[in-house]
Amino acid sequence: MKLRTKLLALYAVSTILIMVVLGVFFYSTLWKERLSSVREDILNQLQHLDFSLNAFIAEVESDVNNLAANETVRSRDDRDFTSFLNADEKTYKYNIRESEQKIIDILNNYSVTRPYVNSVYMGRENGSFVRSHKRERPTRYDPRDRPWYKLAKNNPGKVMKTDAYPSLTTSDINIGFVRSLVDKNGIFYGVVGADVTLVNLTNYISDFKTNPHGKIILADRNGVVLAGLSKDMLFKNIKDYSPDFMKIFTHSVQGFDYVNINNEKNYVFFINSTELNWKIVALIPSENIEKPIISQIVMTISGLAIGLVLLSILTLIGLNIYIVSPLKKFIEETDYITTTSDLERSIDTKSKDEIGLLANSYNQMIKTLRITYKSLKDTEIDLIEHRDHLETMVKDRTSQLQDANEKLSVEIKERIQTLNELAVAKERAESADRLKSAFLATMSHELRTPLNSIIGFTGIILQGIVGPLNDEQKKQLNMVRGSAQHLLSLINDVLDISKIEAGQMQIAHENYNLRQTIEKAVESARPLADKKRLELTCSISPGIEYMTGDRRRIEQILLNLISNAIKFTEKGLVKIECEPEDGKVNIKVIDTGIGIRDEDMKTIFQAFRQIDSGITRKYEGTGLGLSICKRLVELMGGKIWVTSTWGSGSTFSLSLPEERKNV
Amino acid sequence: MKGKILVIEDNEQNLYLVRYILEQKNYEVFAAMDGESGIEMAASLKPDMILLDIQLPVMDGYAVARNLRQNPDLAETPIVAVTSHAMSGDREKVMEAGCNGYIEKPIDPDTFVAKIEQHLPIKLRRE
Repeated sequence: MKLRTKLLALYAVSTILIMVVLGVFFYSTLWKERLSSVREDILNQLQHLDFSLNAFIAEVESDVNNLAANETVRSRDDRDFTSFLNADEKTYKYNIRESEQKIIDILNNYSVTRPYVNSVYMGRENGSFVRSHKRERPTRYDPRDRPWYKLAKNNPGKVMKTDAYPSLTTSDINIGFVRSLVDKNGIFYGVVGADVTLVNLTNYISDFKTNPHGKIILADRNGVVLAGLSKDMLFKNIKDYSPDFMKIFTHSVQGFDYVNINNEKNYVFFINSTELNWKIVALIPSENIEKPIISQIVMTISGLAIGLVLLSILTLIGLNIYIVSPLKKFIEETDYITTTSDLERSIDTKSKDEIGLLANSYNQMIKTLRITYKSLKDTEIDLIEHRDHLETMVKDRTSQLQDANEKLSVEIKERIQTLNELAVAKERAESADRLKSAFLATMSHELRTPLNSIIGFTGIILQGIVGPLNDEQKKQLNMVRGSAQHLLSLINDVLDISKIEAGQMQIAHENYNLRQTIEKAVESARPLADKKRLELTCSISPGIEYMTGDRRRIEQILLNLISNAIKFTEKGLVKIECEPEDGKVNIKVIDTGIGIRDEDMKTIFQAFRQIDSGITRKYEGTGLGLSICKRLVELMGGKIWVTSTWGSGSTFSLSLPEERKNV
Repeated sequence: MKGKILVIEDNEQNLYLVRYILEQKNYEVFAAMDGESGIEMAASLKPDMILLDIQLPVMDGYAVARNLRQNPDLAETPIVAVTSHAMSGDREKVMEAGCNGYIEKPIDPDTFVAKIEQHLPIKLRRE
């Protein structure tokens, strides 16, 4: 959307908004104000009318008072008056005397000079009656029966007004103003009165123009129409004209309301006439009130609208001249730069306003751009040179890298070859290891097979089954068997050592009874002890029962230690103790044998180290037993050590981790 | 009543030794020098017990034990391995292959018969 369109839309929307707000505001306030002004105006006119009416009534009252005070009229002498009662019954003619004629003249004179007065009259207590004009025909008439006479008689001393009534003589509506006549002794003797016709009152009211189209209506306190409407409505109730009128009678003094007449809305303005207690009502059709008000409001709002539109147009023209057109020039210039990249042009402007400042800034910016662009161009040339140089550098570096890479490839090849050779070597070593194990297994088997025969047959022959032997034969065969068994134990020990060193010794983890294992080892060794008459005892703590471990290896170790102890003890005892200690199980093999010299303590657990060649001869053994024991115990996570006193005995101690017991 | 014992053993001296010890105890001893003939003999003879060497030529003792156990006639026959294999785990391998017992060489003539008779029903033991 163009700036101009946007502004136009903005102005249109804001103008409409302002008009709507102002319209609503003016309509409501102006309407109230105008209506209230019209109401005040009309009520003032009605007050004015009431005032005139009151003045008129006061004038009539004053006249009646004057008549009543007239000495001639007030004559107390009843004899001067002819009475209708005394008239000739045939002709109804009555003679008017001179003094009576004087009164009639006064009354007549008064009547003639006041056009609104219909008749002036006097009635008296003796039944006589005179009035301003002659009777049209003879009739009996007794004033004392008339309401006006009674009204005055009952309210002596002041002028009384009768209700409006239709005249007996004309079709007009009359009101009587009457005053009693009282003598100096306070005795009532007659009434003076004047009838005012409302035809004249109606004319008077009709002359009083409140509004060209309005009507003035006079109604008494009961709503009976007295003046202002057409003749046929006279003496009818105003509610017959429109029932809506009744509501104005509930209002107290004065006011304003609406009534519907023949479905058309009418405004009614009314006041209470203070003297007569009548309602004076102005009835005006609504359009006559509202049209001028509406036209006034419309005029005001139209004026404002025209003003606003003019203002908008002028502002838009201003905006176009001072902002939009210069902006167009800016757009043309930037378009030019975009299409041509030419930065040599600038914008001419003489104005000193913000647009002028913008143009100056723009020109400054273009100048800066020009400089920047030029320096960029220079930089670009530098960059191209630099790039070419870099390419050369990269080429050099690439060839260097290629050389290095080739060297590296050769090196990697060599390394892979080395690795392969290493793998082959490792494979060879491993297969050599496997061969060693296989060799050991085979050797073990191959050595045992002949030993099996030697030991077996020696045993059979010694049993004497084959034939009887002499003592020397028995002795020598026993030596053969002993040597064979020694050879077997040597084979077993060498096999064990080899397996441990090759890491092939497997330690079982089975649940077994340590107590039973110890006892079994002790019992196995008992024949040896018995032979040397040594005491062999065994003391196991009550808590020692089940453990987890390799039962056969434990048995092997114990048997080895106990055999050793027996072997190196000539007299005394061999004692085995077993007790738990701090998560471990301690087993001690105590003897009272020859003991171990201090210098031998360090090497006692090494392989092939049976102490002293002299002893070797005396005590047969492979020299591998303690070494195997130590390694087995360590494989099980335990410890083995010896304490000894040379000449008095040794104690071999064994500490095993107590994985589980008492299961 | 004599018990029939089949001994499968490739070493002549050892076979002689075992046969001698058993015959001294009045057992009827049959011998086979290799696994295949041992299986054949066992099938035809239905011995009361089989003593089986593990280190045999061509077909080793484990295979022989497994083969023997596949014959329904020999499913309950006690098989005792007599071996010089002293490596650890050998005992487990022997029992796994279907043997009932395990005796390590060299055998002790004083205790050998007692050891194998643990696996014989009482009525078949020496008279």
